[in-house]
Amino acid sequence: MTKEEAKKILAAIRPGDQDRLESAFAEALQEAEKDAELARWFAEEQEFDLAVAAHLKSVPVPFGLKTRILANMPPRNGSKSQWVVALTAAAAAALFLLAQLISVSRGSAQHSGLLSDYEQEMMSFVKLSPPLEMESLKIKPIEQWIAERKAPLADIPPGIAAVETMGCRVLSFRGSPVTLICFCHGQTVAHLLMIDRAVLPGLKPGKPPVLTSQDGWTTATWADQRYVCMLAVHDGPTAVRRYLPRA
Amino acid sequence: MPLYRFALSLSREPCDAADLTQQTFLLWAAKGHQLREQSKVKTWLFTSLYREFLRAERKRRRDLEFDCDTQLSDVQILPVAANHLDCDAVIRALLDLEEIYRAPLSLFYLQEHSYKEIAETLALPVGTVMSRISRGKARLRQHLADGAHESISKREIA
Repeated sequence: MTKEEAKKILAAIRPGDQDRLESAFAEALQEAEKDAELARWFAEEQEFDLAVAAHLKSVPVPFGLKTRILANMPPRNGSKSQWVVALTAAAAAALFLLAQLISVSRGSAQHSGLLSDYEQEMMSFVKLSPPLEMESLKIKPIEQWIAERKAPLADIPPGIAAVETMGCRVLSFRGSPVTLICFCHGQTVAHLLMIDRAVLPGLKPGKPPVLTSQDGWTTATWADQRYVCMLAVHDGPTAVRRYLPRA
Repeated sequence: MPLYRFALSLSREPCDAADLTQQTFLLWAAKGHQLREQSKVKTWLFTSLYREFLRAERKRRRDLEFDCDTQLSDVQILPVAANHLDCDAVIRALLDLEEIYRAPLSLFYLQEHSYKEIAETLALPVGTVMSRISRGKARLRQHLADGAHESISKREIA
């Protein structure tokens, strides 16, 4: 084996130990042990590879890509299919990256940042009119469906509960389930999202809903003892206030 | 998400990469059940994404021609210190590579795949994958060195 041939083979070894036992690399690795210059070249190559790999892994995934993918997926069936497993794994990887980015860059503002991330991610989801997993014009079957899945279910404010339902879906935020119930009021669709308050501890219960408007959408966010609720409507604040518990 | 980063390395545009990633998961939702071996899911996703990319590229540009005959000896390998690598420069240099090098090298640097899995994903013989990784790295170093020289020249002019 010439030095150039050895280099070509050694170049295909990933930095770390995962490829070292591969039989195809054995001869080239032996050559590197015997040849000091080749060994030095290989060490530099591995160092270079490690640096490039770290840079490639630091490329951020676009915010909301996971929700965008999930929103366009067909609704899940009862049993976990293979794509759900793969998607969950991919989503977990994306969430882990996001969590890392957030934990590094944020200190005391972590809670409010997390809430902001939650609102952004959920908004990127509802804006795509996601398919519902369960459809019903009545709230009772929807509540039963949610309860069976042990997904978050807060007390629905009377202003929303009086509106006709469309259906619901369970999605995920950083590994925690989020319940989405859609209500239809004339041409307006109201999206009510509920998540365990432990995931968003920055929001204190009993406070009036916080209203935010952006791009023609208005969100209202509030918390009770167990859950954080977010109502998102493609309309102005006035339209949203009529649904709220304490406006 | 390694799949997105692979898509980005192929398409070179974040929006296209997001579309490719989404399209791959939609394909998985439609056809993934046909896969019998759970252990092959990762390869399936990367392979499907790569095929989707090629299909879109063919549609966009009917006749792709690559200089496949370049030999390793044609490429001047320049020393680039690993600890002096700038992240943006590395990603730019990687994205500037020709697709035949970019695809195997991106998979290699994502460190999720062995050279055999890369061969399977890209439907190439293992020897070709090894050659392209080796040549791709040489070209990557070349791009990084060119970029560094350019940057120094600009600083000197300024």
